[in-house]
Amino acid sequence: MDVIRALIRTIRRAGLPVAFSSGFNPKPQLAFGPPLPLGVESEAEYFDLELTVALSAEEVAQALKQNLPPGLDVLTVHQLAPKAPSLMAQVTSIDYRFILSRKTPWSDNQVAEWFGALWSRSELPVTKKTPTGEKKVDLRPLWHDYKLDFQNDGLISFRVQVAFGPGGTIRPDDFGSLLAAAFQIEEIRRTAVTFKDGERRQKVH
Amino acid sequence: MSTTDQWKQEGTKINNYEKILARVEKPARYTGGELNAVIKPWTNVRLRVVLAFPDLYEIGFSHLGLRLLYQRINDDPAYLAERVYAPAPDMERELRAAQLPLFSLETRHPLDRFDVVGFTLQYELSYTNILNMLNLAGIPLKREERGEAHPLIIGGGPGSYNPEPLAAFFDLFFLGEGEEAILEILAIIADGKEKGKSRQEIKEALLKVEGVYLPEYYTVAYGEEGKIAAVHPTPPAPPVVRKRVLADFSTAYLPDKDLVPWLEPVHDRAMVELFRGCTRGCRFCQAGMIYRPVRERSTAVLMEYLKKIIAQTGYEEVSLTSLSSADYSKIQELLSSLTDCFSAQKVKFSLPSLRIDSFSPELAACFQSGRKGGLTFAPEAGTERLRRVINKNLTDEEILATTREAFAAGWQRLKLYFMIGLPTETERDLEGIVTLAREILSIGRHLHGPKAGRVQVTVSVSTFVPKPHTPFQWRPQISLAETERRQNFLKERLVGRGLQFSWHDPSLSQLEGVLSRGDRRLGQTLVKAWELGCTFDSWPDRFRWDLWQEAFAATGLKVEEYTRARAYDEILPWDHLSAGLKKSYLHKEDQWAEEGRITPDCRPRQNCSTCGVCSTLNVRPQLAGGEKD
Repeated sequence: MDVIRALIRTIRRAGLPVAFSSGFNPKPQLAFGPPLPLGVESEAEYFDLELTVALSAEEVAQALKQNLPPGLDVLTVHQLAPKAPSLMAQVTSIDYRFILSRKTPWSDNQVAEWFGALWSRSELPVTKKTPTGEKKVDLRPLWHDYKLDFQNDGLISFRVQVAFGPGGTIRPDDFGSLLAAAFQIEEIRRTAVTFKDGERRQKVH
Repeated sequence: MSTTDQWKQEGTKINNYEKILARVEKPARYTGGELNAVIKPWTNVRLRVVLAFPDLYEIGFSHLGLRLLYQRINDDPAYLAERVYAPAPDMERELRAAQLPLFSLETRHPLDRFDVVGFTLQYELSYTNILNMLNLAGIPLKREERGEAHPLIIGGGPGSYNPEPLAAFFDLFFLGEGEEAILEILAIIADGKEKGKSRQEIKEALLKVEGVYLPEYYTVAYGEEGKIAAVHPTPPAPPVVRKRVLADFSTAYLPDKDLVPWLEPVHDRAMVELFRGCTRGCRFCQAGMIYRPVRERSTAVLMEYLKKIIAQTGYEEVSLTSLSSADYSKIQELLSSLTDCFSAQKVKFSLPSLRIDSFSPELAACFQSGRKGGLTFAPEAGTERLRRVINKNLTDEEILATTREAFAAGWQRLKLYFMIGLPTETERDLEGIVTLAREILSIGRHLHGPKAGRVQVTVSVSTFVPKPHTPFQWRPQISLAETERRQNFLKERLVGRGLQFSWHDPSLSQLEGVLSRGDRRLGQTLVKAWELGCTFDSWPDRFRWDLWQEAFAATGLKVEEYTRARAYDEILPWDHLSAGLKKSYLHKEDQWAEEGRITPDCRPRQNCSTCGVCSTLNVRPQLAGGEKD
């Protein structure tokens, strides 16, 4: 919510001709992608913005860049066709990177084996709180891929790709509970979002 | 070794702090980084100031005065100003467990590395938070325990018109409008430090700044029953410290930019003061007395500022503040300019409150975005007689007519704000509250016809607390038991469909009353209460009356010593501090109150109530529309 408010004010400062909703309380027409859990950094956030005047993607990017508060940056702006499907409905998967430290004296090889074993399990049941109670969910089919890197400082970079859509998703918290026994999470970052058209969008380093 | 080098060596501490931030509720309370926050290099300035608000970020951020001073000091390349707010209890626990000090938001320096720590004294129930923040920063609470290397602890805001309960903890209080004086104060401190002067020499040099009060230069002798026998000033301190007013408010400082928060504060909007002071003369109102005389900004100045600040911040709402904004003499012109200029951008405007006698549906509609929610009116007292006593001269018919207009214009929910315990109040006045509320409800039901069921009248009642520098400063405050009795009286009668009753915790008002007319002896009570664990006393869920009572008992003081009536010839703890009001004026107003005699609004100049402010402080009222005679 805080980021959304900050973006709306950025758009206002930039003086972009944003379309407002009609009704008692006109709101700027913005639609956001998957919500970012609290405490997770991100370099892959998306929002759709409706303007009343056609501007080039470069103009919009420039206007936003000049008005963003510290800590936010605009990476790319694309022009959408009118009536483009909603951003949220287009997302198929999300990439996260966890930076982990070890709670155990395990070597890199042992760590790699541990993750290999986790990946090979046929089921990864977790209990999720729902408004009506608790629910058992199998995370395994939602986990698409992972990659481990061992950093020079001893920390482990654990990259995952998880499903996103009507079939569910894996939240960073869910991984947190799977990893808690052996690892301490130092940082979580959303690194990329993949869309239905097959386009994969991540920060160009 | 420079401070910066020392600081770098504390890398582990910073690392721990980062981990704490990841654990606490709402870390954005402590991380700063807002748009327009100013981060200056630590070593390139003459003096470093941290502005401290003794309540949570969400509350403190919403305070205009602190935002104004922050930009003002930072506009000057010679100084650096950072901010700190009271850490929430979870953050306090983490800091204490990790043995970390309280840090500033901008550069995360511990408070004791600054040259000046400036607290804003907005309400008495924030005082234990001040002690807690000093303690968390590792700064000795008592002035006499602090040494050359410690920051100077200064305070300003309405609390400094009677800061006596805090006298032992502060080096300096500032009375009045600070936006010019703060730079004079900082210049003297910077000069003194550069010339190698001692803390004491610097403080003595500060005495020549108008509005500066150094409590250590005044000795208080107590007589019987805790009454003050005498207050002795030590030269060169003046016998009476007078508040500072700006030479010309119409051209007073307005910042080029304003902070825009990440975390949503209680008032998430830009603010601008239409005017300072108030001409109404309500006898219970401290703000109406201490911020005199009335001085308005021109619509041109306001419009220019608002255009700049809205473009610069992107705020979707602006609050047009003052003590009675609808009294602004060019309010209609201002509103039409605002509508012309900002309606396309969907910027909303709000007034902090609307007076019953200046309400019109057209005026209210300008501030009502979209759906008609609730409207709040403040009759303050239940009968015409009692309203004359407090000089809020409204007839029942005026109140009913206004509510009729509001209901007719579509509002369904009205909130009525009253005080109980006002001087001369009887059961009849309480009954008056009930009668008024019921009549308003039936008007609303009648006008809303088929939707009568949606009409709601809320009666909100607070307890009158006599405040220093008001005509009621000599009056008694009703006791805890009496407050409960009067609240119950209303509770039993304000029941039924469409009526709601809300009230304040009576013990909170008792403490507020003690501290607001308190003396220096209360310093030890404050320390004791804080030691017992009292902080955030203004938060009803955190307030511990039992601990406060323990603190009073332990320090040998009684609540009744402070809530009692005072004689006109008694020396009051704040008599050596002046808001420019003549004591004879306050005295006369109190007598007129007893007689139910009205003092007219002093806006037309022939109605001058000779309160003494203009002559004492050598200022004049300023109206945007010129003088109305």
